[in-house]
Amino acid sequence: MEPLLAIDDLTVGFRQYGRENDVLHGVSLRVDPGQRVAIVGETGSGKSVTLKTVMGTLPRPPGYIRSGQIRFDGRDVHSMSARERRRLAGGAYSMVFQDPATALNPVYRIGDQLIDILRAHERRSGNRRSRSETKERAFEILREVQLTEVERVFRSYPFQLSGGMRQRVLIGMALLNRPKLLFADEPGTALDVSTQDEILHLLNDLVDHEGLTFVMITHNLGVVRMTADYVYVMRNGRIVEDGPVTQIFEAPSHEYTRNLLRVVPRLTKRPGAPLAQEPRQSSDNLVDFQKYTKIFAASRSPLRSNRKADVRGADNVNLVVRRGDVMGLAGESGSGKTTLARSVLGLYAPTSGQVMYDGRSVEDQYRSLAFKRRVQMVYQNPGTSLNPRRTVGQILQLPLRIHSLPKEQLPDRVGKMLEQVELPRGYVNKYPHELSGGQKQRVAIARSLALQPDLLILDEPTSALDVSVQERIIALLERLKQEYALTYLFISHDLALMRNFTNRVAIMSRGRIVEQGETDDVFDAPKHDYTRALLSCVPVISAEEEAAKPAIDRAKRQQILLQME
Amino acid sequence: MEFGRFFVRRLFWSIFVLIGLSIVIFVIARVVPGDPARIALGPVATAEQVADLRAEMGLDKPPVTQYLTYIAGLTRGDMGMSLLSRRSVSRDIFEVLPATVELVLFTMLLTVVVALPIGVVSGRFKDGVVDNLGRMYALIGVVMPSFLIALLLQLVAGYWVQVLPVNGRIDATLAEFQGATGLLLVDSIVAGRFDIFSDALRHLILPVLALSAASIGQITRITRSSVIDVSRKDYIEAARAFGLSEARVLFKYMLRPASIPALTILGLEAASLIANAFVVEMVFSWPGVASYGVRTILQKDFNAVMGVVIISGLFFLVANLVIDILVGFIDPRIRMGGRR
Amino acid sequence: MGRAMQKQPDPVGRGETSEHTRTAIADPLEGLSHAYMRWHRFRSNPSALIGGAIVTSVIILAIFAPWIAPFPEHAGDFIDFRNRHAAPSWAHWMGTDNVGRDVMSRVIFAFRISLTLVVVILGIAVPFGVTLGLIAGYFGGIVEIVIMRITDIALALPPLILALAVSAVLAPTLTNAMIALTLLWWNWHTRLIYSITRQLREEPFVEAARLMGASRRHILFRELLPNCVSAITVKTTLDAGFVILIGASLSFLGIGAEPPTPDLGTMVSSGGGYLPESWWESIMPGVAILYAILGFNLLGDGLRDLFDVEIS
Repeated sequence: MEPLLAIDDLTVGFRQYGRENDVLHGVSLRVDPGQRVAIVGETGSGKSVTLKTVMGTLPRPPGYIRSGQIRFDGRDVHSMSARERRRLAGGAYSMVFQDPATALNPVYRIGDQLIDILRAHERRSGNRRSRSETKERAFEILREVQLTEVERVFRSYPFQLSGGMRQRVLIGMALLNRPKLLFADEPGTALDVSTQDEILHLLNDLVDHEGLTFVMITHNLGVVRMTADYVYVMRNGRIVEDGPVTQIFEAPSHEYTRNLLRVVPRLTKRPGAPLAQEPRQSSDNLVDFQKYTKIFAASRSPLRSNRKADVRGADNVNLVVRRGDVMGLAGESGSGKTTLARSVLGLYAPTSGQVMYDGRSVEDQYRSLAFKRRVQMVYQNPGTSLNPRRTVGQILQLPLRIHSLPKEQLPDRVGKMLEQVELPRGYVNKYPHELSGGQKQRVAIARSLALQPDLLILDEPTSALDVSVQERIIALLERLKQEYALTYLFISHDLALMRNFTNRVAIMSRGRIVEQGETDDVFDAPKHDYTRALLSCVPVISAEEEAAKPAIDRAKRQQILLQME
Repeated sequence: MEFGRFFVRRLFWSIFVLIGLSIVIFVIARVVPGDPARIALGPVATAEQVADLRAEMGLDKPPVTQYLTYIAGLTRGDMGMSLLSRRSVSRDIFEVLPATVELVLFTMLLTVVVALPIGVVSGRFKDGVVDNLGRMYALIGVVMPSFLIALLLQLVAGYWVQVLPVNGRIDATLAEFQGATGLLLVDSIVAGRFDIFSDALRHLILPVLALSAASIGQITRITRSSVIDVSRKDYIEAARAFGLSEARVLFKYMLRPASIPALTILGLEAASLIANAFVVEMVFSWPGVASYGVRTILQKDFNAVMGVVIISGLFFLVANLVIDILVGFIDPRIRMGGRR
Repeated sequence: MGRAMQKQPDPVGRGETSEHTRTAIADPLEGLSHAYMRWHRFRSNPSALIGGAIVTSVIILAIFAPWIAPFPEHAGDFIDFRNRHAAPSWAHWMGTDNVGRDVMSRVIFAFRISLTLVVVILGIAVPFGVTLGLIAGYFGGIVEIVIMRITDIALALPPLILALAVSAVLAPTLTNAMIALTLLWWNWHTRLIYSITRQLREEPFVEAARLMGASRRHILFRELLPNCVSAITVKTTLDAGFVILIGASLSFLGIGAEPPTPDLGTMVSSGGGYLPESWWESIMPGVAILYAILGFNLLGDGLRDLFDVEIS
């Protein structure tokens, strides 16, 4: 059979600072009609460059195609003129963009943008539709991507829609002119798991119904297992392995693929090394939320207060973090997990109730240096939590200097701090941008440990990192916990990671804690419907995990998730 | 509805700035050493005459009262009396205003007509021929002091080529013409005097060229860089990937978002436009507000100086109000109270 | 409006380089020092190069004027009526003026006035404006409102007009013009730094410093300020050109250095009276103004590309 898309020995390079270096080395792949293909890889694997080259959106310069062929439906795309190529775009093939927040033009209504795409194609193919027919087709596509209130969506500006709705609109745009081949760039990964799950199901349904061929790039193996038939694994600009999805997941041949599968956290209990915790007394309560409520006023002016629009960041929360716990706070965006974590630091004054730290109210003590010594935070994105204009040495010295460590001891202490997080001492003079993401996060962890705190708040500390880096950072955090007898308050949306890292967990939604308890209990026998619904949405990488997920049908789940909203 | 609230907010802001401006000017004018009345009457006047004038002008009252009186007058369009000509400042300014309005409006028109297309094409076809020439022109426009451009234009057009008039607004033989608005181009058409229209237009060309150089340069640059900025956005890549024609991407999907920063800067440019108008009017003996301003400033005519500064501030604010409304129309996020 | 962000060059969209790839493949930029990369970009940036050369030459001419100028004594009230209105020649490259002084010598000395304006005005206005911008951007609340409303008012006042008003009302001297310009110039830097700081204050690294217990002074000047340095450098370089431009415009209108001290704007305006015959008397100083402004502008544009900051 003639493949729909064939890439042959593609080599792409970049020219930077007078040096040329290749980022793709002889990449070959083929996509047959009706096939669902996933290209998987971590950062720097070359999957985005591959997609951009095929789509013709590679920035040139600095990029250039050194050699190779790209054939779509038997025609050589690479040698086509830009005009001919544009003719194919949107019609013969199209693409679902990753980030629904930036891929829609902010100053035009959705309907306007949909009609433009239809008209562009009509002009090319020569068969003009009437005004009402065009509009009807736009409505039709909006219904097809399962949007309700299509009239309203049609008239809306992008900023008036939610992220999930925008993602649906983007899918609709890609499908408007009935392409044969649909590309997708990290589908759903910018969204919450429940929305991601819906979007992936939608894509699957559409591929089935329309007989589409589907090519996606992603770093998320769970997504791959859910939506692909055939997988290419990329690393450092090369395809290291390819095969049918079951073969890749069950019998990977390349060591890199095996390692990748090993480091992905599982939704089932990890064999060995659980963080066993002995029972404790109440005097061990380090953090204690007592009927804690925090309301964020929608309007800053007291005159125009709008009670309905006020956001309940935390709603009557009772929660205890015991000394030595790894307490997990899980939930989707806006569920209030970050609000709780930040209240421990005294960053939010409670609307009612209180947070106690070690028996005393946080409000009474958070300003004192002694308190700052005891509670520290590690942020999600080490790229923004380290000042780009200060060296690693300066960054690490700051807490020591504030807490008056003698100057002559500083260099030695900083060196020790680096070693503690397994970085060479020589890194003191480097700037953050000279480090990799994982190294930056290590520096951030070293900084938070500088004053030997009791409690570390970990705000999605690995979500900006590749999964293999995540594994090592988590291992580091586990080691440090043992060494320094730390307590962690760990925020994450990644339930599989939560299962493997925490010993207690609280599931949050809309500012409330819907369920809390020992991690194993919550995951093995979730009591609350919401927890069950959430768990059932998690994309997993093995049949074993799939079997362990709560059985709950899609309609019921939808209903539960909607109720919580 | 949202738009109405947005408009009212901008209006309040403008009024606030105007009040602030008047306070600043008032303080500067009043902290000046020396007695305005004495300066106005000259050294030969008697102490009694000076005291009378002070009383007449309200200078004997406390500064706050003076200021409130001034503001009260301002709301009626009364800017007090010129100390030297003893005429109403508002009347004086009203007489010279049309000349400046004509000059500035034409300059803005030329700026928009020339700078926006060049900026868009330069940004889209970065490093192309238009871009290189456009950048060259923009650079010259930005770095060339307007008095130098004015002088050069006078030199070339007035002395060497001699096709265009280099002084004033209209030929002396036609100077008796009077119209309702004071804008010669409008009045002459209304009156059907095409000889006057063409003469006025010819007088306008050189000053407008001199005045527009800087703003064309600035706006071209801003438009170019915001087009480049927008062309890197995801939604442009998406529009192309969905198969929209290049013309549509450029003139619809890029132009509108890119024009938002360009317009905002155009509003701020109004300030330097006024400043340059002072210089250009001087060189071309253009009988406008700026010439009047320079004259009264050099004569230390306080009320007139205040009037001129407030008029230029007012012009700046009106220009920015118009721009804000325009930006509100272009960007739904601003209009509907969302965040930018 | 004014947005200024640092962007690392990242055309491939590699984003975070993972530890894995770091060790596995040769880093394309490995072995290239930071200084080398900066130098490489500077070298392949003609406007920075040319601008830098022009600015350097102007500074050297101004500092060493008495040794470089062919007739240093002509910078004062020298008079030689036999030699007045002499066209450019080998002896007088830029000709002579209406009292027979060498125009080129006067132009060289006049750069001193232009640069004095630049140093004094920006030397006061930039630190002041930057500090206010940092404060307004970081503290927010009532402080922010007060400071930013004042800049709004200052914005509506064209510097040239205020300088004209102040210096004419006091006395048409260079010092008064300088005071007036300084009074307005800070507000642009305040707005620029404010817009950067307002974005930065939400950044985790600022919060992290606060949670460590860092002082406000530390956060303003050690955490935030270093992130504004590129933007300030570019803005100040471009401003230097505009100060020269406005200074020349003011002296053209009659508010400049006391004669006989040479001042470029004054020379253009007095030479303008002898147009078109003795064109060099006004055009040559005009070209000198252009040269200096062009230098600062090219350098500023070049630095902007180099640092990849946006200023508007």
